[in-house]
Amino acid sequence: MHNALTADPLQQSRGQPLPGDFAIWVFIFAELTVFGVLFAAYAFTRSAHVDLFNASQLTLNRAYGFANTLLLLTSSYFVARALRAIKTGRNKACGNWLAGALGLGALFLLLKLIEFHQDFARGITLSANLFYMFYLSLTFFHFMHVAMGMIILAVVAVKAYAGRYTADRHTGVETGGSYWHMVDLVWILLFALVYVIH
Amino acid sequence: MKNSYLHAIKPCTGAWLSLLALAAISFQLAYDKPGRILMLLVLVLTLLKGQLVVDHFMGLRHARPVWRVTMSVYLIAVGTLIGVAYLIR
Amino acid sequence: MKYQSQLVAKPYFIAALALFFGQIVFGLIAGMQFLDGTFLFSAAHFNIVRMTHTNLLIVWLLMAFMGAAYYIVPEEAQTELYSPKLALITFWVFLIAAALTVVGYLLVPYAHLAAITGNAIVPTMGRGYLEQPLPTKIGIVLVALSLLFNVTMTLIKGRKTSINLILVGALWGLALLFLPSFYFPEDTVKASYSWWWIVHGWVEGDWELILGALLGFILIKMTGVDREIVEKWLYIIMAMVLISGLVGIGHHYYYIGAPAYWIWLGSIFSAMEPIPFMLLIAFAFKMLFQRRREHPNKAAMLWAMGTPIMAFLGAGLWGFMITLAPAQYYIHGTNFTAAHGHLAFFGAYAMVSMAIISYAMPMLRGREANSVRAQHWEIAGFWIMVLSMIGIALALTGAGLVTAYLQRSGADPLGFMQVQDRARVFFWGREIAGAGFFTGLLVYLRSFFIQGEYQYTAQVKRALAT
Ligand code: HEM
Ligand code: HEM
Ligand SMILES: [Fe+2]
Repeated sequence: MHNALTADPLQQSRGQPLPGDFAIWVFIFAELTVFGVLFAAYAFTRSAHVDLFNASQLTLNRAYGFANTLLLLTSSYFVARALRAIKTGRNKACGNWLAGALGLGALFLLLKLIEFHQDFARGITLSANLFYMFYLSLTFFHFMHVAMGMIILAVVAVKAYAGRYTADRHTGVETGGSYWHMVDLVWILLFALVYVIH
Repeated sequence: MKNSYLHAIKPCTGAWLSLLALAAISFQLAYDKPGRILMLLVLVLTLLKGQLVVDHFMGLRHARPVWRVTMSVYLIAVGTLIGVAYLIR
Repeated sequence: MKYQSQLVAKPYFIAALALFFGQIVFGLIAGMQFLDGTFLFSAAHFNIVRMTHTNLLIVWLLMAFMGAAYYIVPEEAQTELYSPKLALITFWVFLIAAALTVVGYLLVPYAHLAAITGNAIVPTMGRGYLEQPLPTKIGIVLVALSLLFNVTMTLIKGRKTSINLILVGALWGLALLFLPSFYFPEDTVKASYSWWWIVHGWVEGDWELILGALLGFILIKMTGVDREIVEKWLYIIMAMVLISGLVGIGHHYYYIGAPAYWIWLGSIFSAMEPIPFMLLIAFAFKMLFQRRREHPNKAAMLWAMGTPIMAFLGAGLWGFMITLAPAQYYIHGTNFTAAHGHLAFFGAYAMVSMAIISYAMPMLRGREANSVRAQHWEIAGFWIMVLSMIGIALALTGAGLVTAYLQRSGADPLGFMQVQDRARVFFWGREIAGAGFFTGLLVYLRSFFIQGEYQYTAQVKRALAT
């Protein structure tokens, strides 16, 4: 008993299996492959149309991209905190962190929708040019992933509030969290590629 | 108890703050004149950010090294492909 | 077999195999007509023979899927089928409609058939795989509705497992995706769109989910692995199918008058389409290695393990080779496509149908597994058919490359018929491999006529003796 209390539940050693269900990692690796191919396609296409890409890239509103980066990074941080919370058995805190992450995710979607709206108003379409084709399809594809990740997180949050996880049984939190971090990771690459690097 | 709890939070919070800072730098660099150095710099910063997410948010620094290495290899591979594509022009 | 009503699957499976036999006969005739243009000239034109070949393919696969649904849904839902009688009536309606349609193809000139079946009112005839006259198409919709009503009601009153949800959901998708067949505008681009929604939407979307559900069911039953694990894999595979396949439809929009961005979207996303097939292989082998029991039906296990591998070869690998826009530029519509079509249709859908038939038929005939002798015949049939199909695919690939080189590239391309002559050796190869396939089919069908069941005690004794 004494030991159980003093042993730090957060102190982990190396050599653990992947956090969460292994199946989600199969999916994560598959998804990362898909995005990797998309990024490479963008980069190599650009190398054949550098001026077009540079010029079109300048028309994007980088502030939106930056704000969205901050939102996703922070929501990812919240999810990490949610995991910490459940590891110490604090269900409600876990749910709260997840709810916060969901809120930030929703803001991300909202901002992206506003950006899309402005793009369309400016006549940016899939057919406008190659850069916009990539920009729209990459960000929309990622947009769908954020939506999907939010659905997963919402399920996890509901379960957390319902007390379905405990300090030592919380694979679901890790599973949903891992997927969300992947969505974050992909956005980091996407932001750099589409908004920043020129 | 309380103490160890805080202790464990730190790296995560630290990672988050670093990520925000790195994002801000990248954002700032976005306004610079195009150039190879700049491109490589942003690329490296981006991969660094990726690795931070992998290590601290995904928590792979606690996982078997093979998984962390797999992720690093992924990041480096994507980074290299992008880098090469930008250098060949 | 746990529920009496599962028995309605039996006529579906038997009819499926009979139609399969017919399909192959017409395939051989069509292949022969490549070698001798006058073969059966007055009796059956190539276009009719080809159409019968492909339509029989679709119908027997639908028969097999329906049989599978009537078998699996009650067992998974742990309740009798809502209405076995309706299922049986539906079977006869479907079979008779299919038979009448084929008879119509063979006896009435196609244009005439179109005229007498009201094609002028709602034009639907003429597009590949969808050549059926209007009454048949309406019949297909009614049959599908009856099936959906039956299995959905069963699902509602019973246990809702993931396999059942995926299977029934995918059957709804199958029916809904058929509806564009009633939309055949004069604008050829729009007509192509709606045609591919069906063809691509089926084979590279919806049917992959059916394939996953059938394979998942078979593997749960045969390996005794936890349902939970199987379900998780199925959901992941499903997600990857949709992620790659939805936008992947662009690989049919390259040079047909669709917006140019499809060249990019189609190439990139369809290049991902092999991923779900790889995952299927990983999934099947994971189940095999984690199995908790040795099922006596070795033949069914062989079909179940062979399916994802052959599907990956035909759909994943052969599909990938032709999917990028620059490749399509040279290869579109050549025999390379036919090679891919044969290997993929056989490897994925024909084989998964035979897998569920192999697993369920012995049960429907009142035994867990067939006698060892019957299984030997079935396994021999498996190998002969699989190897022959690879032969067919390789021959067609050769013929396709001949076209790409001689007719579509170079400064002085040859005309179509000259190129066909140059590719003759490959058409011979296809027909010879086709004869092999036919032999394999006969061997396979023979296994159904060997009576007797698997003798546990005899097998154990023999195993101990050696
Ligand atoms: C089991 C799954 C699949 C089946 C049954 C299948 C079957 C077919 C068939 C029959 C055709 C010819 C359609 C026609 O009559 O014009 C076709 C075309 C095509 N398939 Fe698949 N396919 C499958 C999966 C895939 C995959 C995964 C890919 C890509 C990686 C792919 C790429 C293509 C392409 C690019 C064409 C167009 C070829 C052309 O127009 O010449 N297929 N497929
Ligand atoms: C004895 C074996 C077979 C022979 C000799 C054969 C022969 C043929 C021939 C000659 C065609 C017409 C090709 C053309 O129009 O250029 C064809 C088309 C087709 N066959 Fe077969 N076939 C055989 C088995 C199968 C099997 C087992 C399947 C599927 C399970 C199948 C699926 C198809 C499909 C999907 C098409 C349309 C392909 C396209 O348009 O690209 N065939 N077959
Ligand atoms: Fe397709």
